[in-house]
Parts: sequence; C-alpha cells; structure tokens
Amino acid sequence: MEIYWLWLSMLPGVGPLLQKKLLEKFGSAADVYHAGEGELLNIEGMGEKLTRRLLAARSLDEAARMQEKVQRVGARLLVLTDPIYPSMVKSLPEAPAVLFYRGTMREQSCGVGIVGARRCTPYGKEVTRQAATFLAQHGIPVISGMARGIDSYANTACLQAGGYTLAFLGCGVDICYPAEHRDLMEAIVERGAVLSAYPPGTEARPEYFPRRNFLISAWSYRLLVVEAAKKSGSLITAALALDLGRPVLAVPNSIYSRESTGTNALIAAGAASIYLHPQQLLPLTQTVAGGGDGSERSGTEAVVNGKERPVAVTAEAAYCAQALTAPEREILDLLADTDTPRSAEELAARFNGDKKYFWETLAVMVLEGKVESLPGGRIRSVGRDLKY
Amino acid sequence: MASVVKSFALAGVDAYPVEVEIDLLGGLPAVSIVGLVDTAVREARERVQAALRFAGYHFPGEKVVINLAPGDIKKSGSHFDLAVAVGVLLRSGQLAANGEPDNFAFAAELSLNATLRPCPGVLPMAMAARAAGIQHFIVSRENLREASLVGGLHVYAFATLQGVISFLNGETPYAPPPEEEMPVEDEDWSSIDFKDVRGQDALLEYIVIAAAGGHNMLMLGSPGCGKSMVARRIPTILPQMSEDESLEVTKIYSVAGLLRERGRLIRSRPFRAPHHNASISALIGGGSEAGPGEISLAHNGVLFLDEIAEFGKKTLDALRQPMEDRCVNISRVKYSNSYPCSFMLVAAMNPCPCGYYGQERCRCSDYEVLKYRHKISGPILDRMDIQKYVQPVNFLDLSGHSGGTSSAALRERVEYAREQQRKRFTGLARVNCNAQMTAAQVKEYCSLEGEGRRLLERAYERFHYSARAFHKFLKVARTFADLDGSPHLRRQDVAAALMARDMDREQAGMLVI
Repeated sequence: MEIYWLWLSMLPGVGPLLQKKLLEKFGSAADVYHAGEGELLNIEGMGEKLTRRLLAARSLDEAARMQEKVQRVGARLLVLTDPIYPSMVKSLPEAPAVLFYRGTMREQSCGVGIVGARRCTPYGKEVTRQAATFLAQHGIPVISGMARGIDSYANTACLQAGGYTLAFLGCGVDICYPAEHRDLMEAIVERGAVLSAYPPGTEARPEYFPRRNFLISAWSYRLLVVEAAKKSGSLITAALALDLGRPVLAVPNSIYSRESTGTNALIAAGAASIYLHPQQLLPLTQTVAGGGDGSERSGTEAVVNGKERPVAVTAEAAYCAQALTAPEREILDLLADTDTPRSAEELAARFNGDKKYFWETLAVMVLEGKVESLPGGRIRSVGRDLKY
Repeated sequence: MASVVKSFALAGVDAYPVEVEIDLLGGLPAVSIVGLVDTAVREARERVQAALRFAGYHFPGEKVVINLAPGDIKKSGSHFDLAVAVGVLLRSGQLAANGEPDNFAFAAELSLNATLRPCPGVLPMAMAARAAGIQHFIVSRENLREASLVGGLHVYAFATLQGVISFLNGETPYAPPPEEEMPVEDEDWSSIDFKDVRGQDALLEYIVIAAAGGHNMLMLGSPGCGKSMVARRIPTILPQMSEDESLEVTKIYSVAGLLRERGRLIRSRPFRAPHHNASISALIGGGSEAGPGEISLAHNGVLFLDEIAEFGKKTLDALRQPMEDRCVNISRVKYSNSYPCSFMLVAAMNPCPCGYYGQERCRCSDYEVLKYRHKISGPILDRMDIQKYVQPVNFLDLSGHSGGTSSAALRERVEYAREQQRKRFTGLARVNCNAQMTAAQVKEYCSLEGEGRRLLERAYERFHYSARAFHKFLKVARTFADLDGSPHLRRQDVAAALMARDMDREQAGMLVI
C-alpha cells in the first residue's frame, strides 16, 4: 500500500494539513486514491479546482517510479498511520503524512534535540559532547540535523557513547550533505536513523531547511540550543519548538561571543532556560534517580540547588589521588597559573627541571590523563576548576 | 675514408662515448646528421657551418654525412658541435691528423662566431672519458673546473675554435686560462643557521631526531609560524657529505645543467622546495630527455614540500616508489634513465582549512579538518615518522630567550647518533639509518622490556594507534636512544617517541566517526 502513500505525498497543492483531513475522512491513502468526486468536494479546503486536479492526477506511474527509487537507495516510509510514528508528532497539524528514512526507527524515537551553529567554538563542541554523551548514557535519543558543527557533534558524540540518534535532513535520505559527513551518515543509519520529508534524490536547498527544523523540534520533547548567532537556523528551530510548547534550553556564553548572541538573547528574553547541566535534559520522571524522593523535581532545580556541577567529560583521572613526581608537579604548576592551555613549546621553555626529563614526563602525564592534550599541540591540566 | 672524432652522450647521470663520423660523398652541397639525434644535435649543421666560415675555414661544398655512433640510442644536446667541426676539418684536410685523434674527446657548443660555449653534464663525460681510456678532453673554459674534478685526465679549455685547431695542429702550445678568483665559501648555507630559530627549543629536539635517524617529518602550524624557516635549516645539521655522496650530487646537478659554480664539487647537502603546483614530471623527472626531477636534485639532501595538502594526490603518490627504492627509473620506449633519489622528506601544512586549528579563532569542524587532512595521500603520511606542531613564536617573549642553538652544535649530536647507527648497520644492505629499518630489523634492534613496553601498551590502549604507528614509535625511540649512545631502548626514549606524533594523537581525540 506504500504506493498510495507515495501518491498522496506527491499530490500537487496538497500539504500536510489537507493530507490529514483527507486521511481522517477516508482512513488510508488507498481510500483517498479511490475516493469519488462528490466525497472529495465534501471536504473542507478542497475546492473544485483542487478536486479536479486531484482526480486528474490519478496515475500511479510517478509513484511507482518513486517507490522503486526508495527501494533502490534502501529507504523506507514512515507513514502517519504507522504505530511507530510518534504520537507526540502525529498530533501536530503540520506533521507530514509521509517521511522517508534509512536506518531503524525505534518505537520510542522522540528525545532531546540538540542544535547549534555550524561554525562553532571549542566551547560549544565540549558542551555538545557532554550533553549528547549524557543522553546516550541515559538511553535518551539525541535528535539533530547532521549539519556541520554542533549538529554533527551531537550525532557523533551520541553514537560514540553507544546511544541512539536521529538526524533530520533538508535533502533526500540518500544524499549526504555536507559531503564530509559520509561516514557519520552511514554510522547513523546503522545505529539510528536519518529522516527526511523530502523524497530520495532531493538535493539540499536553503528553503528545505525550515521544514527539517520543524521536524527536529517536533521530535524533541526538549530542545538544547548550544551556540546560535542572530538570524541563524538554530533560532528558527528554537522558535518552532516554542510554538509547539517544547521547553527550550540555551547554553549561556560570554556576551562578547559572536556565536552566542542568539542563545544569550533567548535567555535574556526569557524564552529559554539557562542550561547548566545535562541533568536538565532528562524528562521529569527520570530526574528522581538523583533525588530519590519520588517527587517531580526538574533537573534545573537540582542544579540550582547546587547538587550538580558540570565537569568536563574529558577529565578522566583524578590526578590528586596519585603520587606526583617532582617534574610532574612542576608541569602541573606551570599549567595551574593560567586558565588557558599552553603549548608544549611554552611549557618546555618554562620548565626549570632537567630538560632531559621534560618530554618523558609530559608523555607519561598525557597517557595517565594527568594533563590533557588538546588540538594544536597544546596542553591543559585536568581535574581543577575548568572553565566550561 | 671517414674521419672519426670522439665525444659523449648523456644517459641519466652517466655519459657514454660516442663516435662522431664524418664523410664527404661528393654531389650537391648538403649536410645530413644521422644516428638517432634530436633537434639540438641536428642544428649543429648551421652552427658549425657559420663557425667554420667565421674562423676562416672552408666548409666542404659537397654532401657531408655526419653519423653519431652507436646509432640506435637517442642522443641529444648541443655539445657535439665541437666534435663535428673538428671532424669536418679533419676529413677535408684542413686539420692534419698527425696527433692521435683517438686520444682526444670533445664536448662544447659552438657559437656562430666560433667561440666555445659550456654544456651540461661535463662531469659525467669526464668520468666516462677516463673509463674509456681517453687521455685528452677538450672543453669550453667555463667547463674546465668541472671536467678537472676527475683525475687522471688531461683537460684543455679554449675560448675559440681557432684556439682548438691551432693546438691540435701543434702550432701553439696549450696555455691554461688564468685562474679565476672564485669566492672561497661555496657553502650556500653559510648564512643560514639554526641559531636564528628562537623559541622553538622543543621542536628542535625532534628536528635533531629526524636528522639523526633519517626520519621523514611533517610540520603542522598556522601560517607564518616559521615552518619554512625551520625546514630550510635542516640540511645544515645533516652529517657532512662523503666524497662519494658529493660526486653523486654534483653529477646530477651537472646533468641537469644546474651546476652554478662550475668546477666545484657540491659539498653542502641540497635543499629543494618545489612549489605545490609542480607536475609529476617536474618532481619525479621526465620530459623529452627524461631528465632528473626535484627528488633527484634533492638526492642526499632534503626535499621540502610546503603546503603538502595542496599537492595533487597523484603527484604525491608518484613519490612512493622512488622513496622506497631510493632511485627512480624514467622510462621511454627506446631507453630508460635511472637517477638516484635518496632524500629526507620534510613537509609542512596547515592543520586545518583556516590554519588555526586548536586556537581560539578556529571554527573548523572536526569533520572538515579530517577532510582537509585526507587530501594528503595516506601512504605518504605513512612515511612520516615524526609529525610535530610548530608553535607561533611570541615576539614579545623572544628577547627573554637564549640565542638558540647553532647548527654546528646540533650537527655534532646528529653525527654522533649516525655513528651509532653505522656501527649497528654495517654489513646490512640498504639500511643506513633507523628510518630505513624493515619490520624484521625493528624487531631485532628495538626490543622493548619492562617499563618502556608497558608505556607503549598504554598508549596503544588510549590512542588506538595502528600497528604501523607502533613501528614508527619504535624507530623514533631507537633514534632517541642513539642520541644518548644507549644500546637499549629506555623508558624515556619510548616516552619521548610517543610525543612525536602530534597529529595522530590529536585525531584520536577528535569528535568524529
């Protein structure tokens, strides 16, 4: 019966709203296809002109071609009447009758949306990594858009932590945009799903993205906006989520950070709550894991009450628990008097001990997680007060 | 009977004797040159006619046939002019064959005014002359020093054709041209020294390792942080070239026509930095004469590929086999030339598309960074034992730094480590330094025990290094140990080697699938 759904989704001039009305009236896509003129005219919104067009478009040829294409690229259809089509989305008037996907759709596929800037900062990356990892560990799907920057980091970090993630695309599910995410896309297909309202073969276009943003917010019972500049797509997603009544959280950042003007503005306008800890992303019923009294307390309360403090996920060893050698102590001291990471070169220059031991000491410290080796050949201490 | 005069033709870096035969066949005036010659040789016809006329000789007014034997090998070059002119004069009786022309060889181009011009490849020609038992070699003045590098050969240099003929006729004795005063310091690098590099002490440590173990090296860094400046100085700390190595290099430069200070052996190691739009032929060698490319010009020295990510994948891939074999064969249908190309590869690149990866201003996503880095051919990256970041120098801090270490001091350390390797590898074919060790040799010479082994295992677990990377760590650790003269790999050698691959370590921490 897929072919009728494809036919319905390809009808000219029939959008999600009308699709739903037709489906409500006739029950299934096949019945819409077989409906007579009189029945169609009875439906509110179906003018004479549209009805004539619909009747004239009663050929399944195009739908059959599309069906073949869908099969060829290994995509499947998620239709409105499917039991796994989330009820949270189904109830929305704008929910599309047909979605294309590759991968596996779980019964519970709704989760927490993470969106943000394509050109993000290391700070945004770290927050995203932490949040997505946390969600994966709690078995909550991460919903994002596989775009450059924050989106791809959210999808990636979730997969790396063994979680389930969905990526909504502004192009067909057989097309990888941007191209460098090919491996990521395949990994999502394998351990999650990529979805699109657009049929396979559709190239990405700017005007397709708002619909994809809508789907991200529809699938998210909470939305985390990590970094967003003014007039960015992430703010559109946030606005759509707010329209749907989904709580939006925004990651605060310096008021001078260009990448965070949008998120800071969301907070300032009171539209989004301030994100301080991944605990805030849990559904209300799950936060009790920390509290234990069974009452409905939000993660935010726990955070505000000082129970939780974010710690960088990369900090994996508590160095203070281990004995330090003299050169190790010196390197840590060199790293301690500044908030910013230092290059190995700079450390070597300031290292007063026997230079012979410098590289040896540093290598061992990196291995043991006593210091953290950052991109660009820079070194940072771990376990102290980190600026996150 | 045809007259026979000796000259040489070049094949790769070597020359072989060529007999220039001239005969007069009567009939209408015409000149034909045969013997698989190219245009440069064929044009000798016009040059020789004009030169002979200018010098007051008579060009035969009948059919002149000039044959270059052996006739089945392609020959090129304009240096046959002098031999052809002498042959014509001999055949037409304007030059008495009272000397022993068998004992003379000629190599020079003629100008229309009958002066002798220099030509490339005189050094290998002189070597071929000696090998063939020829005792006298006549060249242009500019080529005198170069030809004289080969002992056991009488080399004569003349300014004009008339000078050559009157000498051969026994009319005037040979008068060597006055010694030109040449600047004594032939070292191109005398003005370049590592002491100019300041605030890069940590990097220098790894540069020394790379030079000591012959390891190929990749430098990462933001634009303007001094990658090229460092690379340019690497030849200054490589060990002094041996006499044989010098001769090899000089021969290549002679053949390529790049011997600027003609007549002097090249004693400083070459440094070649081809631009990234260089073609495969420019890099590997080729062209109509199958001449040497940049990799051969960098023989026994350093080949520096700046912005290696901008080089074409195909171009870089073409380097693989020559790097493995340390020589390159340029094949043509009729012949093939072989050039040596044992060089140290030093490459530099930006760490990401914007160039500032890891710094506050960089906004490249990890996926973009990886895509950028994947532009470099994997097998070439694989041949880089050392990948280090070059940190931008803080100019305000510079004044506080010590004056930097001089190249001479660094070279001493390098030579010490090379000595250790020479002892270890004597009697082994194709291995001169640690970087060239095969997997079996790594196993034999880099056995790890106790602490060092545990350290490496730990790194393996944490950064998921490949087995190949494992070998590289061992090789580099071997060089660290050699620098100290330690026969065993110690814990500190392994630890320092583990810090030699910044890029791998960084990629292990990237947020990518």
